[in-house]
Amino acid sequence: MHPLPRSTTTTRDHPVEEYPTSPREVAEDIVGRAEAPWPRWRWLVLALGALFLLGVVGLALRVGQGGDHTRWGYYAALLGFLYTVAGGAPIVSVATRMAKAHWRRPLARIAEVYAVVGVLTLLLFIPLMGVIPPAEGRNTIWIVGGVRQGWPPGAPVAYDLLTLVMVALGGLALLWIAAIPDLAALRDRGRGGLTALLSLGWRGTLRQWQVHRAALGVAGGLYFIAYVGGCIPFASDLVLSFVPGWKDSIFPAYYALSGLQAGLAAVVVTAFFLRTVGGYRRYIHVDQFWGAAKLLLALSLLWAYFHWSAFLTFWYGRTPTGQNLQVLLYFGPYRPLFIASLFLNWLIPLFAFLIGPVRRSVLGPTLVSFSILVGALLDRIRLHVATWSVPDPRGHTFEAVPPPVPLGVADGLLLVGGIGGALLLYVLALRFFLPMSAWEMKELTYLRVVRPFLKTRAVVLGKPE
Amino acid sequence: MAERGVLGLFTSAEAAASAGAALREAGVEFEVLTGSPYPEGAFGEHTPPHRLYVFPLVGALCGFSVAILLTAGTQLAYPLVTGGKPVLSIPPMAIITYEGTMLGAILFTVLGVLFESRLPRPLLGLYDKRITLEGWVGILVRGEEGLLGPVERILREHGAVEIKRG
Amino acid sequence: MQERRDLSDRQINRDLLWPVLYTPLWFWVAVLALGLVVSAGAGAAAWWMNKGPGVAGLNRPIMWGHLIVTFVFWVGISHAGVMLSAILRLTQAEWRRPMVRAAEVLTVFSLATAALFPLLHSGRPWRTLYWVFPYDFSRGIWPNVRSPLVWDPSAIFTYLTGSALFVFVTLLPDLAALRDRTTGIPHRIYSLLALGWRGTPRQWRLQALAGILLSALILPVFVSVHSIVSWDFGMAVSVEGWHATVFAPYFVIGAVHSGVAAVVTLMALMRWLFRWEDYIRSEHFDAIGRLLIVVATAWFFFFALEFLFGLYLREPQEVALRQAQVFEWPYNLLMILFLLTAYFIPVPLWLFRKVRRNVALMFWTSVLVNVGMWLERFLIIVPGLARKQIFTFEWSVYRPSPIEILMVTASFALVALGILVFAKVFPLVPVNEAKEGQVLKAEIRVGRRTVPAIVREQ
Repeated sequence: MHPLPRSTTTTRDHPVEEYPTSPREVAEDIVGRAEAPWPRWRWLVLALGALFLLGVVGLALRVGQGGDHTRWGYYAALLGFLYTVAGGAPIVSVATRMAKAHWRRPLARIAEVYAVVGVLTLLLFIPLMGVIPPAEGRNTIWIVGGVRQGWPPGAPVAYDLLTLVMVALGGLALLWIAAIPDLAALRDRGRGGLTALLSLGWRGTLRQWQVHRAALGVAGGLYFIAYVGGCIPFASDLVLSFVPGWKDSIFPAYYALSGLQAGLAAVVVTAFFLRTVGGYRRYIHVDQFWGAAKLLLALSLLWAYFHWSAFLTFWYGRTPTGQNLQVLLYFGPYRPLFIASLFLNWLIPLFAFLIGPVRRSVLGPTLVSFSILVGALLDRIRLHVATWSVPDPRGHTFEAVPPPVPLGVADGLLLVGGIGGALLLYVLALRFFLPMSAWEMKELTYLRVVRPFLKTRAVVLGKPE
Repeated sequence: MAERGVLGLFTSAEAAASAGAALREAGVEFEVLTGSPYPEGAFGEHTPPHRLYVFPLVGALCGFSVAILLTAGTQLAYPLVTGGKPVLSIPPMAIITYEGTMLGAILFTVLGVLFESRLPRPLLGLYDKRITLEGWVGILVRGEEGLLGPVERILREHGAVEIKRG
Repeated sequence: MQERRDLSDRQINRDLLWPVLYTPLWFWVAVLALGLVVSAGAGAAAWWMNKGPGVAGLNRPIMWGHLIVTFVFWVGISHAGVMLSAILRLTQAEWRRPMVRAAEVLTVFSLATAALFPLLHSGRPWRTLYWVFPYDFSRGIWPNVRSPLVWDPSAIFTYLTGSALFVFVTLLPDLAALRDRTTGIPHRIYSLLALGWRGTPRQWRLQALAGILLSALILPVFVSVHSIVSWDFGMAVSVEGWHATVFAPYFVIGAVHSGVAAVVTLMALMRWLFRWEDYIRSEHFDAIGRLLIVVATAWFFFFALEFLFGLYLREPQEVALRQAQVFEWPYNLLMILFLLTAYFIPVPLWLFRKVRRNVALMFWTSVLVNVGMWLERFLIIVPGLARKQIFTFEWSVYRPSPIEILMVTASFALVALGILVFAKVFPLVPVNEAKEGQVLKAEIRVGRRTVPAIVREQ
């Protein structure tokens, strides 16, 4: 062990932030203050709860107003936004753990806790089950093999529900497995009840750690498959199949990717708040934002690439359906939304992150992440509202572009309430599970050492595998 | 007096680093020659800033301009509608312009790397093969003749196995 | 990480420079054999040019066959270099060190080989210049910018130029080592090429920056190249199975899959032929095997999207194409072989650490992957064209001629010959990277265990 003095060392123009240097410090700092009240906690919960109640009012209004699927586009957009953002966020933890990057450790739990929003997403889907038109007569992924009616049974809503169940359960399993050692630490600090139950009697033997590592790998891999694979039925049933003749093989991949981008953005914004007002400054450094910024830049470029690939295919083919699709989604009634998301999801991240000092800062990636989140919401509204506004989704060709559907009071309340409810669930879960993965931070204390190297100082990173 | 140089050769990086520290304390600027990269500042050396990042930007602008001129100009020279697409079609022009921009950025980046590295350098000057062959570290000091004597003494005190003058 | 040895600079120079400084007998035998195959291919190409494309098995509507399949295949392989070199440099992965240059060189030679095929395929390569090169040879008629076949040369030229320059810039320190190691005419040539490199901190810093900056610039180019090649097919509305939005990322991820597998093949050969067991270790195959699992699974996801959404609208022509691919001879057999070799045999094997660390198994599974990926391109191009027309009497069958088979075989020999000759003149494993790996090697003591570690600048 190389316990080092905690002095900050300056090798360039800014002081270097240091992590805690012993597991005991981590335990005292992260686990020890788990029961301490968060500043303005009560007000936060009340505010988010109030927003959620507004959403319930909005839902009641929407149900009361009746109508077919064309009135539910904003609701579907909310569902799509929550599914992709909250579903994509845990992937940040899975992917960076697979890449064995040390910088991801403070962000791991922040990302994993977003899995709890999957429960809300699942519940929000239930009202839609009665609204989504049946698959007969429509182009969907469910009609195969020459049998057009009734196969597979319950399609499409039963399988979308199954998808959401799998994603919710998979995410919760991933979160739980990852949190077991920390739940045990909390149990040992005196927290009983559900915490003790979920800790499964963890003692931290060598065998348990080995099994834990393997289980995390399997859970992460399965969750990844569930989320990305789930985007195939979800995106095609809740977007593609509402427009007759719209064949777009890249769309589910685009849907998943934009969710990953927005999920990572959500993690960055959460990390910013935990650093500035949550008191986790010692754990969340510039390194985390810098690492996330590089990933966000890559994801933003891929976002534009997928858009371009689809657009170019329709533009070049010049089929009537393709041209009407371009009007519906890009250049027609929803052009402002498209242009806004083009800036917020691509151009702003691209030009901001090309500048080194912005990329390597705390505020830069945070502001860009806000932009991405807003852009993602507008993008989902554009996709779902535009496609759900098509009155008759049956047939083989898309003949007429419908007029735009304005945002109503019920729709506005739904959006605000849905996002408020998701945040409420997240905040409550973060309090329960610990905002920082204590066991991973403890591991970092002995795998990351700052040492003199000839006449400078260098970070030595252990690679036990 | 004419500027001359002295090259001290060290068999270990630690010895070279301590010699560098001593030179720095004495207020002498020096350069380090190594056969493999070391972390910045490992020998206590001072590396002046570079402007490499300007080159890809300039290159990208040049590439972009050339590509736009090429695609737009050539299509307007003989305006033939093909595939029902307008003569000045933005998507295809964007693709070729993108390639041109990237090519310009890459070419200028390579030029920038060579320029900022002060390459090509026709004469090698004070140098020793054993820097690449044996992993020796060279500490090179340039200055007036009168300065080099004390410098040579410092280098020997800190373990230089050979001194070359030039 | 666990198998690193302490190696001095002298030992590294000796081990990694010996193929340049000494020539074993097998080298001449290999050059002769490969040269003969390449010559046979050149003869076949000359025959094609003299007699016309009728010597191929091509006929309406299958006008693109083995040569275009192989063109797409080699462009795919060329993505290896950037994928590994650029991404691993940007992520500062230590295990990139022995493979970056080999991957980059594979890129250059496979891309140059790929570029030959559209030229040879036209039957009159000199004429191809007229509609590709940006000059109005016919006084006023310029290349048609709206055609994907014109986007291709711009992308390939950019990528080839960028990759070649990337190889040269990162080669500079090793050219200096060769300059210092040689005498006589080789010394003069290497001195000229080394441009006076001395190894100052400024030069090393700019080398590192060049690696990062060029990687960051070449990555978007690499994505665009195979996307543009995919749009040679994707822009066509008339051919079933081609006009799909997913083609660009599908082709790119397929290129990464085949390219990384090709690098594994190359690494295994380098380890065996040059006796580089200390530099190309089991841990490298382990790391690249894990990467391959992710890439292969991502590729399979895109393949599933392409197939599933091909049937989405249940258009009769598309259904006929998929039926041909899955149920009709010979495409059904090729489809089974393709799926087995590209995914269902190698990936389950790679899940086991013992397999990933076994160099022979990694070699054979990587070869299998590329057999499968060649078949993948074949199954995209040929059945699509075979079922192109609505009227079934227009449907046709493709039987490649010996001329085409010879040219395809010769392309493999050409790439191998190119890399072999390169290895004779320049070191295939970057010497300065190996030395840097020794400098940055460290250890951390955790309890009674010593954990291997890496030094990073703060």
